[in-house]
Amino acid sequence: MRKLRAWMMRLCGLLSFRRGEGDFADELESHVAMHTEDGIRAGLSPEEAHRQALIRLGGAEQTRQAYRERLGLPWLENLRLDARYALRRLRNSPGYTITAVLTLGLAIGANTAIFSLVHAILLRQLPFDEPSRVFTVENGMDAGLGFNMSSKSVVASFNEAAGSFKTIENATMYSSSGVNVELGEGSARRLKAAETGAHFLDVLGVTPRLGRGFASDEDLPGKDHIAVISDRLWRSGFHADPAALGKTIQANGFYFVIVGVLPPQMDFPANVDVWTPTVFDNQTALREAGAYMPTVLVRARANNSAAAVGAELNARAANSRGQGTARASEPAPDARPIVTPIAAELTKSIRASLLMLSLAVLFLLAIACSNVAGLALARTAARRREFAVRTALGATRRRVIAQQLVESLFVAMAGGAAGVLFAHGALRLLYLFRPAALDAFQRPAIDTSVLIFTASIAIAAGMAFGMAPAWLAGDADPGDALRAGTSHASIRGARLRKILVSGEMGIAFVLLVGAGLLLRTMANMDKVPLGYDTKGILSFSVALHGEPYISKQGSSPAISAFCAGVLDQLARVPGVTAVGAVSSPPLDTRADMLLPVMAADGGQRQAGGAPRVASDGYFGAMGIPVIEGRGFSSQDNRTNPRVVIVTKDLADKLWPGQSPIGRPIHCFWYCDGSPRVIGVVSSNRRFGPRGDAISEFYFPYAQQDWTYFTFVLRTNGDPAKLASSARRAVAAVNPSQPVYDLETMRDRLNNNESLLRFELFALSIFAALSVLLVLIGLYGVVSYTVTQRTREIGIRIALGAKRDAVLRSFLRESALITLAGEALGFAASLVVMRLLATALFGVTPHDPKTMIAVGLLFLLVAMAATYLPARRAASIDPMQALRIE
Amino acid sequence: MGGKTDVWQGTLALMTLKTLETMGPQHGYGLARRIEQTSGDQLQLNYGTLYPALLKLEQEGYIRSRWGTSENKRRAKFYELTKAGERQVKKAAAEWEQATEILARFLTPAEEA
Repeated sequence: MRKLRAWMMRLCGLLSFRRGEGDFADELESHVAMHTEDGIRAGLSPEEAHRQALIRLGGAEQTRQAYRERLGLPWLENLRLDARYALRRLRNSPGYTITAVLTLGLAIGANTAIFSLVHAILLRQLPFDEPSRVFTVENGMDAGLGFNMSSKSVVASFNEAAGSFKTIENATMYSSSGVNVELGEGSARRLKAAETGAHFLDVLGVTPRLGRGFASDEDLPGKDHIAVISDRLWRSGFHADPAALGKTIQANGFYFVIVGVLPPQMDFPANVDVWTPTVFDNQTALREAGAYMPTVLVRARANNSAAAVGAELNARAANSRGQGTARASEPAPDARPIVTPIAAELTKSIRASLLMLSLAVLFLLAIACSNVAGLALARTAARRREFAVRTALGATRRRVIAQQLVESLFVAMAGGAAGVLFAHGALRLLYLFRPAALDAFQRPAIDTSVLIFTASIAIAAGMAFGMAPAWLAGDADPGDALRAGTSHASIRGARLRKILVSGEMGIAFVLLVGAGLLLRTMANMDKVPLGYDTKGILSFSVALHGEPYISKQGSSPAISAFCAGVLDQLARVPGVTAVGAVSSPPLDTRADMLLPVMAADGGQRQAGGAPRVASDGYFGAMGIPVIEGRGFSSQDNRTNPRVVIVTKDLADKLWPGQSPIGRPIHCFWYCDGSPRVIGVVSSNRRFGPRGDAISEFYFPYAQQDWTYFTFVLRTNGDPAKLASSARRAVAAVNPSQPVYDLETMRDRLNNNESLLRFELFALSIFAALSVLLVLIGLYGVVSYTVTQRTREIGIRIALGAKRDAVLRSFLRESALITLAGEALGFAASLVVMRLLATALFGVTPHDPKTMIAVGLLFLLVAMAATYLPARRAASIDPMQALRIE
Repeated sequence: MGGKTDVWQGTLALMTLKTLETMGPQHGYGLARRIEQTSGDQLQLNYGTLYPALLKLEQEGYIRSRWGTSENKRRAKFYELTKAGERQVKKAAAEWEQATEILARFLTPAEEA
């Protein structure tokens, strides 16, 4: 306690230093005067008395010094002096300071930008009550927490099973999809809705900010036509009016009464605005595509891990299999119940990318630090005399090292500040290339936690690059340094710098190989024939719900009339060369379903295929070639016999080696009247270059109702410019119909590979920066060596050494440094590139071509960086060189 | 033990506090002389070391200082004990007595032998 008080007083003493010192000067003066008077009284002469007083005091200056040290905190005072000295030195060498600050700024900026992504996504605090207790469950069917059919009866047994586990407090299901929502203003808007179980909000632990959630029996038919809405929709649709509670909204033509408004931070599932407890209600069916796969969510009881919940679910599943109430055969490991924390589940699509990029920026920081360390080493070597003098005058090694570190920390902090500026720009740039997966998260920002991170890595970087030069400075042997101009210490510094540059090369090599592999992946994917065009095509979707589009007996004239009307309007838009409509285009993100299709002409063959509905112009507009028979025509209507077009691979499976034209098929739901095949189209990779083609069979839209369509327009110009014409065309037919997913096919393809594009973009920038830094680093080392050896080279040339030989010796040394670095980088790549394995396409993580290309590039870069300073060395004038020093 | 000895580490504070306790408020020079007198001129006090020691005691809150006028009508800084200082004198004195007593037990038989 007393110590702390004294410490505080000393801290204050530091601030009021001058006053304390002045006070003491008076005290000391009065002391000496009294002592002198005593001496005179004892018979001494005034001069002698004064002298004696000072002797007994032990010297006035020494006393003042001892007093000063006690008055303040000497180490803090030293720090202040070191700081002032460091700042002055940095101001005096702007070249070093600017290079170091920019180098560190770039690297710290990259780290800050990536960390702000990590912070916003991987470290996000979910807006749930104790989110660590919420898990998703896959394959829960055998344990009772699942379903194998779309039926409301599943809900009752699910809810019954949910209460029977020791580790699980509550369980629910949910599924989300786009819906047309009408708030009562006449026209619908396209929103996302989630169909959930009654316990959905309880499992998440979310309480409505207004109104109520769902009661536990409100997921039963007849009670389930209620909804809670997002804060966002409450504000945009109801002007934040509490009277929104009790109002009725329409979703896909079904009516729901609003009972609650959720808090603003509740955004799960991402971008959903309407939640209804209608899961598995066949009467509502908010979903559009066929397959219906809700996700199971559970809230564990307190202190139960994912492993504990998983163990209980697995035991239950094994038990029910044993009793024969479930599938009899033992399922594969990945078909057993799998329990995943919700945070991990939400970030699974992007976690690996973010970790990969975090590693990349850490590499970049290592390169930057070692580069700055190299520069600082050269400075230290140049200041050896100064250190030696200070050591000779009594400075302790600790003080010399501390002073160097203070200087490094200043540079690092300035680099950190520059880094924050860079990070703002970098984040904006990265966000332009953001992967689609990022849209589910809040926009990353540089907030306080990110700034704390930045400051921490800046300090760590300062320590890291300051350590080597500080150690070398403290190591100066005064006698040695004062005698010789250059000595073994500066040579040791130069050797250290070469090792550093080699290491930098190794790291940059890894980054460049990574970027190279992603680049090759991108090129490989561009080469994959998709089976449809992506250039010059605009697409948009429309979903038809409610009156008058309710389908009766499989065909509603209103639906085909709408479709025909829109196609007609679109065809009249200037610049449009072809139009078409299809139920689900390639690169669509909606769920799909495969149905068994059989040859109905006596053949036994059966295959899975996805049913589609298309207009007569669709194949032409989308660039899908008709390879046998014909496409649809306007004659394929209600009055004429039913027809179907199949993809090549489906035809090959059903009628191998035979022509399918004229053959009838059979399937569930859509094949009344056994439609006959009139044409074969080529297969297409609907999931993009990475996915295989799936079998499809197409009906003409006039013969088979479908409630949602994607229209496509083909043009020779820029398809994006047709957007407003497309909206007008739909409005001309039905002004209350919302248009959604309005984008070019190119956009759809880019979205499909957005994660790869993001990784490639970010990694390329980091790799390019790293190469630039290595280039600067190597150039610095060679220039420094040339300067150091000017005398020696001068003597050599005077003695008849060939200038070419001098040049070659420098190039050879750089080549050796580079090769050593590359060997290191190659070894590291073999390990690190495995991280990229899942992102790669058509290229192995150890692709020799990429490695060799990167290796050659580095040699080239190294030779370029060496050539300029080496030529300077080779053109040294011996006479001038010998005159220096 | 013929010649004058230096002040042992750590004892100057206690001497200062004890002197202030018995003499009341005192300036630095007076304190120094008084300590030497009390030691029977056995101690050779380096006056310069007294002031940092006084400053330390003041920072720790055992003494306080104010400017006043000496018996010779000279401006001088006077030091006096605080309440905490009075407690500290008793505590430190007790500790020292105990320490010297223990040490004496080691030394006495050695002298007999």
